[in-house]
Amino acid sequence: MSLTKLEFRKIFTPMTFITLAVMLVVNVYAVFQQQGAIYAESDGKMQRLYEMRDAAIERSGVIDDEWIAARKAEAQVIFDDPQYRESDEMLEQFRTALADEGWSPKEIEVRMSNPTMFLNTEGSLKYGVIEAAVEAAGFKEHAAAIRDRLLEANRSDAEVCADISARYDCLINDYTAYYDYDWAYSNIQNGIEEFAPFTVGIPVLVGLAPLFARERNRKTDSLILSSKRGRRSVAAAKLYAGMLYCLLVWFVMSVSTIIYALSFFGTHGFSSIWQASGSNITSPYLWTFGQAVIVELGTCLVGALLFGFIAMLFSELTKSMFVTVILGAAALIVPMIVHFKTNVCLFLPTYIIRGVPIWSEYFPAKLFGGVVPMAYLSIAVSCILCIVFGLAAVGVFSKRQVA
Amino acid sequence: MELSINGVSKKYKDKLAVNALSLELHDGIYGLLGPNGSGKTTLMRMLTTVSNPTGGSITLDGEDIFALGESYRDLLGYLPQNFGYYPNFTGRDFLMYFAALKGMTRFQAEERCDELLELTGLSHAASKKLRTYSGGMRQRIGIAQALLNDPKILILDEPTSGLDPAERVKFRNIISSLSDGRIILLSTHIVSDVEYIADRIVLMKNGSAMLNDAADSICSAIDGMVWECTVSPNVSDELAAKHVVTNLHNTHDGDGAVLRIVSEARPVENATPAEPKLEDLYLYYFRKELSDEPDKA
Amino acid sequence: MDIKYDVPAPPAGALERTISLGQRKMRSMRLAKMPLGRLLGLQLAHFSPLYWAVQLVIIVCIILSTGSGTESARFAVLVYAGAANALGCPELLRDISCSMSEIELSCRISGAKLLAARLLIIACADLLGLTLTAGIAASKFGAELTLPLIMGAALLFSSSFLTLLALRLLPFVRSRAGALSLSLVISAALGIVCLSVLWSTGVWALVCIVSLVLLTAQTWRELSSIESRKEKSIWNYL
Repeated sequence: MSLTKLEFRKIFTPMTFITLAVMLVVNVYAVFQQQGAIYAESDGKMQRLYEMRDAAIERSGVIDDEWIAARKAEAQVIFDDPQYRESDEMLEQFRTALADEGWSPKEIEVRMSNPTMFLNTEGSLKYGVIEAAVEAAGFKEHAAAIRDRLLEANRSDAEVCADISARYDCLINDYTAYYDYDWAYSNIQNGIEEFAPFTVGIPVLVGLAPLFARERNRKTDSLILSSKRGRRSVAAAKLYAGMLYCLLVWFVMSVSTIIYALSFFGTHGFSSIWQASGSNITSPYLWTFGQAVIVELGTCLVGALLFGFIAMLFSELTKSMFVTVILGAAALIVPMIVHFKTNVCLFLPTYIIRGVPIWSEYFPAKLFGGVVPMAYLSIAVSCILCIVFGLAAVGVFSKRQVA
Repeated sequence: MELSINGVSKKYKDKLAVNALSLELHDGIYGLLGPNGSGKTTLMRMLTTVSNPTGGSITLDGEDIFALGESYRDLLGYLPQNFGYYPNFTGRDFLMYFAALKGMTRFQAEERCDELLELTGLSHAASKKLRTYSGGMRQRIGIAQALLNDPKILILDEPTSGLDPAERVKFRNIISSLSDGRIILLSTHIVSDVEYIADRIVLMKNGSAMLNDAADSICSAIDGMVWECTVSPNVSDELAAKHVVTNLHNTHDGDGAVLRIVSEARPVENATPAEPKLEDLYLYYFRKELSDEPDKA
Repeated sequence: MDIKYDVPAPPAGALERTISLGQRKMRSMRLAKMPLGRLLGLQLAHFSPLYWAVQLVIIVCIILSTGSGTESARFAVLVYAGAANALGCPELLRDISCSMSEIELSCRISGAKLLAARLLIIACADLLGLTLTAGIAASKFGAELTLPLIMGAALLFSSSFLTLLALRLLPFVRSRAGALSLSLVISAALGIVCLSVLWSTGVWALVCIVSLVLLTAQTWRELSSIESRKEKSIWNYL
């Protein structure tokens, strides 16, 4: 039996199985979490979900001027209907509450200029049904606002400004966008963004922490290191096994997410516009929602591999499974608490595993005389780091001495 | 003081580790001999209340030891077969910790620790971390902790594993000196550890006590069954296959082998009777177990 | 008037003998009961420095984090609560992972008391840390104190209860790394659920109380099973 196969089998301890099983259950929760919240809010009736779904299907089509006008008109009907408007007293109370919380008058005015602020509960529910379509209708204005903000921030660099303008103008003027019922892809995206550090990261950590460290713990290192293929070959086998395991975890979690989402929510929406899926998507990439999800899944895989290599390196350097788990958990969770400077966090494994953050905003970087998105650099650097960390783990293990 | 083991059994799922064993223990040293899996450690765990019997009872002067609880454990000193230590413990920390668990005051504990470190030859290493200790040193600190509370009942499970011959002799002398007014139960594979110091020897097999006799008369069970002979190498192979050979020594010229055999009948013409020893008894009674047992390092 | 008594001199060595007898008597005297402070001190001295260091690091991270509102406060407190449970489990199993439990169980101070001491230390440290974290998060993110605190307590109690239950059901978890992995998985799974459900303070308070009751019951069950040496427990040599 090959060394890699044997090392791969060693990864599957009872703890690994338990972790994978728990995270598969969490994965189910992740897929249904968004709609579950709506279901819970609407007194446990599916009616509202059906309404929202039907409204999305009814309004599917090319986002052209006519479509945009129709959506804006629909929204305006709701805003203008007095039965959906909040009373003036309530609005005044809301203004006062904001002022008490410390909002400045200008901030309050900006907030109050949003017509949704004037809707009462019934109005909010009515608007909620068509909200996604209305947001899709506004994607060009939204993109233009982002473009202007980025141009302002990078005004000192003409090349970068040219790149920003080109990309955003293409999205606004040349790109044919579609709107469709895209809950399947939205839930897959949410599952990756919010839950992948746990559903992928934790099984990778638990599985790979003992990979090198266990040899010392179980006192098998003197037996292994003194055998014919006990150094470089075993270390390389461990590395390959670790990579395979990361791939397996990513595959299991991704496939399960995709199967849950597509089976329950259908396959509609692959071609729908990505930038309208949420206000946090401000980048100009000309991807459909389906294409974006594929990119995010691929990014998640790169993140999983990077994190896996980091875990393996920790395992070898510390020779302690306990310390490796602590360091790995810290590396995974600290970036979720402490927000580093935006460009730095793009290179952190947590962000890369989450798939979405590195693509959702546009960060141009100058490299070799040209402008490339920072996300591309992040992926490239991650791949290089995987190789470096892997070689480091192999090198240190090969030279290990038993105390 | 009388520690009575009354028909005690211990069953794990489908395995009967201890099978209705009965023993009366009074002051003195008891050697518990048996192959791996005979139930020695399980019995010791029950005697130290670490494990509950599934049948029978263990009483001290008529009172159930599990009902006595703390007052029984106050009389106990226990050295398990495998034990560890908290990281960063020094030798002294280890003893002081257990002294506290045995209810000793700080003043008492400090005095007693010094005494025992001296006794076990570890005074020079008292301030060193336990992880720097050799196997023998760790075993000695384990023996020291068992003696901390001056126990009336001392249970030692394979106490001499890892000790060199000089340390084993020293250990035997310590145990012998302590035997007055105490029950000492000592389990081991090393026959010589109990041969010289035990008052009584108990042979355990398959969870039962198959032989229980005074140390100086236990070998009478194989009186007239121990033989010594010198044979050629191929004959020695035949004899080894047919009989229990307790010692085989090839002659310098390589032409022959001196065998010590346990057999009811004279194995060969030129075999002469020999005085039976405890090792002969052990190998004779456990010949089947020892031949079936996989080689455990 | 001076009265002189003709007191005979004591026999030679009597004084030394009296002193020696007295010392022997003193040496044989034991503490009737182990003071709680000493018991706690014994266990506290051997807690891993990592246990304290990581909790401190988390609190520092929360101080350094950016964000605002109740969401950020909730997230910070839930991260602390999950981490506190994860870190506490290896300390709970310290005697097993260091192969000390067999000797400890045979000592006069019972294994159950030692475990109870460790549980008490972990509980106090966790509750103190949770309150501190909630206070820092509330002031830093401009959020209320009550809801995040109650949510954190609910997560702490429920994940501790599930961890104790899992230890009972999974006897192969005997190492520090195994305990940490198990408690990390449980904390992460429950933390994810807690983060995404939108319950009112009242419902959270109810969850908190129920989980505390279950945790207390499970702890009591564990301690009494160790004392009786009867029930299935990783501390019992069944």
